[in-house]
Amino acid sequence: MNIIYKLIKKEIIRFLNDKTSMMLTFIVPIILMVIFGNIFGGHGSSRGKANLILINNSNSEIAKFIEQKLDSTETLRLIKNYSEEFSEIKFPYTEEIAKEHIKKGKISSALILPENFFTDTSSSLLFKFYYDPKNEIESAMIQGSVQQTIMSQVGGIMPVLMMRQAKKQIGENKFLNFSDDLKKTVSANFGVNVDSLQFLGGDFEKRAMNLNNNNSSNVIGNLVKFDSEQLVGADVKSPGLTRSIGGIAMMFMLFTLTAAANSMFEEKSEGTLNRLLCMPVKRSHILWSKYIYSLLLGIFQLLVLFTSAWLIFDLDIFSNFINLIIVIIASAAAAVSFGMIITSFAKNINQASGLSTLLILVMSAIGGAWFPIFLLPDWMQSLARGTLTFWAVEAYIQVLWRSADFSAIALNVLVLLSIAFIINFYSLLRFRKGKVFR
Amino acid sequence: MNSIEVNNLTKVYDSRFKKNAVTALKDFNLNVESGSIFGLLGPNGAGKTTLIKILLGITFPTKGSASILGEDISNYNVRKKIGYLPENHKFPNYLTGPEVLTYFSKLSGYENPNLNIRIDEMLALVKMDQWKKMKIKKYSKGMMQRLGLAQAMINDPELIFLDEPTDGVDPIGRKEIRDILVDVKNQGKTIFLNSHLLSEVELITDRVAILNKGIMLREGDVKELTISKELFKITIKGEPDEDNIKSALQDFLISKLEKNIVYVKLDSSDEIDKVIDSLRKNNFSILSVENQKNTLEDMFISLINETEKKI
Repeated sequence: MNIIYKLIKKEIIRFLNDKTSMMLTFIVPIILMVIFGNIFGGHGSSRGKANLILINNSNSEIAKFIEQKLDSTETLRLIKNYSEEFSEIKFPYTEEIAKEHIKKGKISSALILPENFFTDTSSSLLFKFYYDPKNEIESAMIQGSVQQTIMSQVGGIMPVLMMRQAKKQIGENKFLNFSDDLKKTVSANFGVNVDSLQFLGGDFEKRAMNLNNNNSSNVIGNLVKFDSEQLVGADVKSPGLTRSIGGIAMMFMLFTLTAAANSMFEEKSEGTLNRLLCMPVKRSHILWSKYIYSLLLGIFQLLVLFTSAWLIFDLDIFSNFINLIIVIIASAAAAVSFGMIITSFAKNINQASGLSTLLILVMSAIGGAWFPIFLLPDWMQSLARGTLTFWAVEAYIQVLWRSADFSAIALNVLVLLSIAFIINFYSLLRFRKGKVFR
Repeated sequence: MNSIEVNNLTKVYDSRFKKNAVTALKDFNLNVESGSIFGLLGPNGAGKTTLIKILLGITFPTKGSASILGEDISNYNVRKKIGYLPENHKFPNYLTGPEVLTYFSKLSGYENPNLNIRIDEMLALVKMDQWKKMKIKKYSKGMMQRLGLAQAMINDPELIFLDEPTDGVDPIGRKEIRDILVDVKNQGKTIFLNSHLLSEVELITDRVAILNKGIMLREGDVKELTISKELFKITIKGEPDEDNIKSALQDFLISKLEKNIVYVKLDSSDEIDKVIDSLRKNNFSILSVENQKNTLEDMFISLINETEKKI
């Protein structure tokens, strides 16, 4: 027993002295728990809101009321104005601009309350809904929130619409005759005062239009005309995979290329690195060869991944192939730089592996590789824009899901290449002082 | 002409906290003559590896300068003329011996249209020619060391750095490696040797430097360094009586007496005349007087102990 105790003690001491194991055992799960907790209703109500363009062209009170109710939901953030690039002047959204922005991927949904949304003669509420289901969860959530709000808040208007629809179908005179006959029959057979049967005429409409009367009924849901139009991705063959493959690709490429950069520590322990250093080669030659090799490895890895997706799931990679290649190269360049900076800062391979695992998982979680970032609290969404995963995942969605041209990915490519350039330049400086070459 | 010149070289390994900074070399000076075998000796942590790393461009000096084959060490092109066998080296284990030699010869910028012939010659030289097709992962330590030596010489270098070249090699193999090194030296090449096997260093080096804690303790010709100026071996003619010898040398310290051979330890070599006079006065005929040598190991240990006491 004493021997087992001593062996256990040895294991504990070994674990406590292994900072990488400590980090992977405690810190990584805690950070991921914080991220998931914020998304799936953890501490507080800090979950992010989904952006929705709202254009209200109707002058009706009901339209104003619906706008007000949508504005106060916890799941939606209404966007009513836009500004041109490099300008702070705001313009109210029009239907055409909203459609254009959705097609470009600037926003994923728009709800239009048209001029004829509800008039004195309307027999239904007219909504137009444009959407881009690039994020299935976001899209479903927005549609659900909009419909729930409408049904729950303006249920009282529905009988009015039913009556109007009946009048429309059988004619006003016939409807009035029908309701008079109905009132008399009910009164005669059930001994009810004719005047008390107000739902069949009188000021029923006026009272029903009291919008604070909250007697909703989903049975009459079909009186709401929800004219939905999917503006993007309707023809995509494998929508689920097309939307998610960018995130998968980016995460695994980061793991691969970080490992490739970290292999310098292995070469150091094997003596290969020292042997190379005393060859007639510059340090920059060694670093650039490592960089270029890793870049080619990353590009090849993604080409294999996308080709496999094409062969197995018929993923369309060829209709926008040039732009796909551009995004692959830019994201691989940024991913290699990430690996290089980790290697330049780390003291040994264990430290480098632990640090890179932590950062890759966090970047994947908040950068949109696992789930849409609108689910994150606002502060995390801001943080996401600082990760290369975010810019890469967005670029893959633009290319594969939206079949966008280069102008749509230009900013993403620029950001990724800038990340690659700046980080790589700094890594080269760091390597002079780093532990790898000491 | 010197193959290596080191001037006031200092290397301090920085630490975040200044008090933990380590001075690996301090104002170190050294010259290694071309065409010689030079041995660098010192206990662990003496600064030997740091010196080699600086000379090979693996790390940078904090202060001072050094040149190799007449070129400043910052000129990486000079490394084309250098061969290096690191300690505990490993080569990619999926390669064969000839593949390793091809790889390193190309990296070192060696251009030879008959490279395959050169590789065969090198493998034959280190007696590895029968294992040409074997992958390195199946090599024994001794085989790795032989291949490492071939690798260090594949680019026909003018200066070869060898770090523990006989480590893991059996006694016969060591002798073969020593013979190869002497042969290389005879071709006019310079060999810079770092080894803990002082008996081997003594056998093949022309000059040695001993350093400890980053400071040069002694440098010189191996024969000069190992000579003991205080111990003399005197051979007397015939079969003299031991008591008579002791009586004749009663004013001196006899360290050993074997039949007609007497070892005398003196405070100074100047006293040897007095010893001879005393023996002659007592009618002893002297056949020879020899200044006795210490081994390099004796000298090394005594020097390190002395400096440790001073510190």
